[in-house]
Amino acid sequence: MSALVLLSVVGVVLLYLGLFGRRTALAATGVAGLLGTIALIATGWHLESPLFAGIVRFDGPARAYTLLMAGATVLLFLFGVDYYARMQRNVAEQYALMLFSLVGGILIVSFSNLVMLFLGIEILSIPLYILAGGKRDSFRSGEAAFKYFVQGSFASGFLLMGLALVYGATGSFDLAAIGTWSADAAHGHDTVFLLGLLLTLAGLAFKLAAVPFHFWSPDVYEGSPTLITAFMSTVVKTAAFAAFHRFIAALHLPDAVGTMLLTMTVLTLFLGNVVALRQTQFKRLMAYSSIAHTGFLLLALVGGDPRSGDVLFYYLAAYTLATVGLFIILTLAKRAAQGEEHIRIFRGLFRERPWVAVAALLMLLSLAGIPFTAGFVAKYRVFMLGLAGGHVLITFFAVAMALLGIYYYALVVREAFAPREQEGGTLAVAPLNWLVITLCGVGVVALAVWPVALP
Amino acid sequence: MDQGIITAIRTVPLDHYVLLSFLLFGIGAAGVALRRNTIIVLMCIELMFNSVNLLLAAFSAHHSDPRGQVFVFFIMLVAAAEVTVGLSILVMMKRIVDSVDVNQLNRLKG
Amino acid sequence: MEPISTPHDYLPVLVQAAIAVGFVGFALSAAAFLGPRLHGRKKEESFECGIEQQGDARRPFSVKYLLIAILFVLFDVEVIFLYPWAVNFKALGAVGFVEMVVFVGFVLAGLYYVLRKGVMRIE
Repeated sequence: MSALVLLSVVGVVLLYLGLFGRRTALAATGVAGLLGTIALIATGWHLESPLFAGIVRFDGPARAYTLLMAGATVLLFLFGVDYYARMQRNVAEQYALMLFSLVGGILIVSFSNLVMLFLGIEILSIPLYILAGGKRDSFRSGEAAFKYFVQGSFASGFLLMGLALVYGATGSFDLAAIGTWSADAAHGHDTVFLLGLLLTLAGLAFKLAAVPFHFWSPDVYEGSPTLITAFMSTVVKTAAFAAFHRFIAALHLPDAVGTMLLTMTVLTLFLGNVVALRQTQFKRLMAYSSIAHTGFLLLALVGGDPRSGDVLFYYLAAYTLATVGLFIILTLAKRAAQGEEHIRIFRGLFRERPWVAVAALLMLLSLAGIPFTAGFVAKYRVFMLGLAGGHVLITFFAVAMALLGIYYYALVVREAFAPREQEGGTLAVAPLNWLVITLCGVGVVALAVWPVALP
Repeated sequence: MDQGIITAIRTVPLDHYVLLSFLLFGIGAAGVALRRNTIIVLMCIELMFNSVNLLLAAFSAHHSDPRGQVFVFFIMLVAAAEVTVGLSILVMMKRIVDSVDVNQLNRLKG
Repeated sequence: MEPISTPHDYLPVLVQAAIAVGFVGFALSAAAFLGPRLHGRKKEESFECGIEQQGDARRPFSVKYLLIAILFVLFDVEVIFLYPWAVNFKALGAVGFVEMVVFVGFVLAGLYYVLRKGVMRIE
C-alpha cells in the first residue's frame, strides 16, 4: 500500500515539477521515488497483509515482480536523462505517465480479485496509449498511438465480457473463490464459465502479444518512441505475464482451455521466429523477437507445473536486462545514423566503441540462448519444464525454433563486428548510458552464474 | 441496494439480459472492426463496455450480490478515461493528417 | 411476488407505443395536407425576432472546446464515487473520510494541473 501511494504521489510531484520548469530534477526525483519503492518492497514493510478489502495480496511472487519492474524502470529513467535532453516540451509527463503505468503493473502482479485485474490492466494501458504518441509531430508515433488505443480498447472489451461471464457463472470476483468453484467436478462443463474463461484469456493474451492476438505489436513497437518501446517490451510484458500466470495458476482449467493455450504456444513460437527472419529494421526485428519469446514463456506456463513461476520470473529477468540494453544501443546508433533503423546502422560498432559492442554481443547472445548467458539457462529450464509436463513434441518444436532464432540475432552481431565501409556520424555514449549498458551486459552473464528464484 | 430495483430487474429472465448484452456487444465489436470513421469506432468501444455493464448489473441482481454493481462504477470510470485519451489521440491525428478516416493510417507496414 | 413476466404483461406498453407513433404520424400528415404552403426567406428563419442570425450553426469549433468537453467528462465521472460514500457516510466513519479526502486531493491536484497548463484560457 505504501509503495503504491508513494509511486502515485511521486508521479503527481513530477507533473508539478514539470509545471514549474524544474526539468533537471525530473529523472532524479523519479529514480528516488522508484528506489524508495524498491526499499519499501524489499524490506517487506506493511506487506503480506491483504490490501484494499482483500482485492490485492502482496505475496512472494508479487514482491519479486514488483522489484523487477521497478528496477527496469530505474534503468529506463537513467537512460531518459539523455533521451529526453533534446525534447523541448512535456518531458515531465513522460516520466509521470511511466510511473502511473508502473502502478498499474504492480496492481496486476498482486491482484487477488478480478476487479483489480481489470483496473490494473487499464491503469497499465491508458498511460501507454498516450506515451506511444509521445512524439507529437511524428506521423508514425501518432499512428502507433491510435492503433494501440483502438486495438487495446477492443481487447479490453473482450476481457471485460469474459470477467462478467466468469462472475455470472461463479457468483464471485474473488480469485480463490473462483478457484474453489472451478475445482468442483460438477462445474467442469459449465458453458458460461468456459466462454468467460476463453474471452478473459484472449483479452490477456492480447497484452502478451501472443499469436493470434499479436497483430498490434510490430506496428506499435516500430512507431512508438524507442524508450517507450523498451518500456513496453520489458515492464509491460513482465506485468502481463505475471498476471496471466497468477490467473491460470489459481484456477482449475477445463481441457478446452488447455488446448487453446497449447495451440497459442505453437502458433506464437512459429510465427514470431519465422517472420523475424525476414526483418531488416531493428525495431521490427525486436518486436517479432518479443513475440517469439512470448512463445517460450507460454511453454513454461502450459504445463501447470508448480516450478513454472520460478522459471517464468528468471526468463523475464534475463529478457528484460538484454532488451533494455539493446534498445539503448539502438537509440545511440540511430542518432549517429540520422534516424535510420536498418540493422546496418550497427556496422563498425566494434571498431568505434569496443566495450559497447561486446555488451551488445552478450545481450544478443542471451536473447538467442547461447550457453554461458542467462538466456540459455532460461530457455534450458523452459524446455525441461516442457518435457516434465509431457509436451515432448512441442518442446522439440520449440528447440528447433530457438535454433532458427539464433540466425537473426547473428545477423545483428555480424553487422556490429563488421568494419564500416564509409565514414558516418560518430557514436556518442553519455556516461549514464554507458553505465546502464554495462549493467545490462554484465547482468546477463551474472544472472547465468547466480540464478535468482522467487521468494 | 433497494429491494424494489432488484425485484424489477429480476422480473425479466436472466437469459434475456444475456442475449441483449451479447447483441449490443456484437454490434459494438462489428462497428470497431468495420467502420472507417474513428469517432464511430470510439462510440462502438463505449457500446461494448456498456453492454458488459448491463450484463454485470443483471448478474448482480440475480445473484443478490452488490459487488457486480460496484464493478460497474469502476468500468464507467475506466470508460471515461479511455474515451478521454481516445479523443485526445483523435485530435492529434486530425492535426497531423487532417482526417478522421482509419484508412489514412497505414504507413507502418504490418 | 414471483419475478415471472409474460409477453402479455407488455401489452400496455405496445398500445402506448402505437398511440404515440400514430399521433405523431397523424399530426404531421394532417399539417402537410391541410396547411397552406408559403415559402419565404423570413419565413424559414429559426427566430422571427431578436438578434439577426449569423452564419451556419454547423461550422467547425475550435479544438479548445473539445478539450474542455473531455475534461468535463473526466471530472464529471469522478463524482460517481462520491455517491456511494455519501450514502454510507456514517457507516464508513473516519477511515472512509480520510480515504475520500485522499481521493478528492488527487482529483484537485489534477484540476490545478489542468488550470496551470492553461487549458481553460481561451483567447
